[in-house]
Amino acid sequence: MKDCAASVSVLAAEQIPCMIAFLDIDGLIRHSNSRLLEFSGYHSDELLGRSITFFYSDESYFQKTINLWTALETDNNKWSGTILCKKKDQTQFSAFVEVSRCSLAESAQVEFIAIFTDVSELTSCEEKLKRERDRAQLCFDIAGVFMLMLDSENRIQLINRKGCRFLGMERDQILGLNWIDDFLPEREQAMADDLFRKIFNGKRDDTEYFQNVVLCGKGSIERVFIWHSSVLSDPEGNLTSVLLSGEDITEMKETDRMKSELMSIVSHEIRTPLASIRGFSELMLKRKLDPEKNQRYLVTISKEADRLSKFVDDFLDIQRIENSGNDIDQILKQEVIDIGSILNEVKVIFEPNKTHKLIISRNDKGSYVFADYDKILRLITNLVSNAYKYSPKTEAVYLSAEVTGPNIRVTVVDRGLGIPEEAIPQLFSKFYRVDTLLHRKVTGTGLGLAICKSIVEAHKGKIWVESKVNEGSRFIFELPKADCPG
Amino acid sequence: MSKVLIVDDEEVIRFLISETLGLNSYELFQASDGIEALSAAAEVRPDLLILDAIMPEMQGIEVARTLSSSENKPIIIMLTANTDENDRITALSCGVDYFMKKPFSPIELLELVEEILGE
Repeated sequence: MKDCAASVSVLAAEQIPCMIAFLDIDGLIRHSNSRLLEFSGYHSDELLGRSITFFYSDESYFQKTINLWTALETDNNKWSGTILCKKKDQTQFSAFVEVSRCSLAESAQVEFIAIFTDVSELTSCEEKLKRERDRAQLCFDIAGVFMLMLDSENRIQLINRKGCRFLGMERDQILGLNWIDDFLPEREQAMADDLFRKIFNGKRDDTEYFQNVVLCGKGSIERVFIWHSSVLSDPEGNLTSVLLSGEDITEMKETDRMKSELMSIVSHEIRTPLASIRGFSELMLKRKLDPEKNQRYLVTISKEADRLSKFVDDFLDIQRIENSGNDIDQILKQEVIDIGSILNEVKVIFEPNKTHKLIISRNDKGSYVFADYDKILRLITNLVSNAYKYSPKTEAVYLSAEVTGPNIRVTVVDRGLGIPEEAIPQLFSKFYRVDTLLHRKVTGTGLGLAICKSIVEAHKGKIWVESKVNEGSRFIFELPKADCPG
Repeated sequence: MSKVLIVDDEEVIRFLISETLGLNSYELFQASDGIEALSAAAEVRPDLLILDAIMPEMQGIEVARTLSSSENKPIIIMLTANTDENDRITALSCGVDYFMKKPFSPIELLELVEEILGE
């Protein structure tokens, strides 16, 4: 390069922190700056007269060159692209190449300048980033909680697999929809709107959580979720999206509701007899009453004390059995027993009660069960007692025991009120009472059958009922037979 | 003679209240739930209602609210275990005139009724 302008360019090329090659009109290298030489490992004479394609690592890149020259002809005299190149030692590098036509002095042989920028690191960073993103997506999808990303307009940008399953829709049907308008019930929308606005204004502590109802299964069912949120911002500090992670607490809320309902029933059942015991005592103490009244009040106090006592016993019993779980052996004193002896004792217990007739039959001689005597006695007594309570006076109640396959089956039959079909699924639940006028007239707390059920199940047996309104009921339970002693 | 309607879902409590009020001379009536209470009130036109707060089907406060909108609204004493300020204010706005905390002392209840109706 002999002329002045060219020399200046060469000098300049040495100062600029890039890899530069000067090309002639045929695209052949006339000069490379030292950075290019150093980086590629070539000597100046090795590159002189070579085509730019000399750097290409791949023959297939030849096509790119064709484009290069066409582009230069048409497109503003500039071309750029990323090319996989190779150094002298055959190591590859990704280079961003910009070729532009340049005009130096007339006589100059330089027609084009090619600037190489090593983007290998950038490419590998991009690949690493993609791998990280794929991994993040995998974690996102594997997460057992509902995960969601919303933009500042509450539109869904991202949703994980669990979220899709809850909503009952495919991911691509969900993306872009409005979280509040499309997936929250109307009654929650105003509150949620307000809440998300606060989140996007940065007015909310990330550590706080909130709760709302979500329409799941294509809107067919409501579930309650508890959410944690985390805001994401762009480099300028603007809040761009919010990431939400939600846990389904529907079952937990239902359990809590049931527990509090139970509490109020228990509370009522304890307070009422207490109130009457205290009330009548106070009347008797603070007022002079005739002996007849005193007597009546004492009878009431006594009955209510019994009522309270029985309730507390029943309730504690059932709680003890329910809470024992695997320690059931602590609660049950099981031994090999003959059902017949229990039936005899039941007969004795109900002997003085002349309102009904109890007829007992057995077909199980020679069979035994491994059970807690007192609990089974309690169980059968409860069933017979119910039969008496719910059937008209003088009607017979039938109690029988027989062998059925590997089990011993005990049946209590009455010809009383019977049980409506819709009541049967809940019949054995704590405190459940059949809700008809006639049934409500019979006193009871609704614990009797729940206790029966828990006793039977603690013995690994089964209990069920067959009943028809106005015709009567058959209560049946089965316990596995035990081997005879000795 | 003043007429008193006793509304509570527990028979023994109705018995206690009627025995207590029976120490004076009032005409006593009973109802075991909200619905019965409304129809008894319409028929009997009581001067005073003694009302349990928590009952199945219809709560005491609903009974009070319904009666408030009719003419000849009786004076209402509500028996409740709840001492919450806000709930009381709500009850007052529904027509409840007096509160008696549960568990209540029958003598105190009698004294309150005497204050309202005389003996």
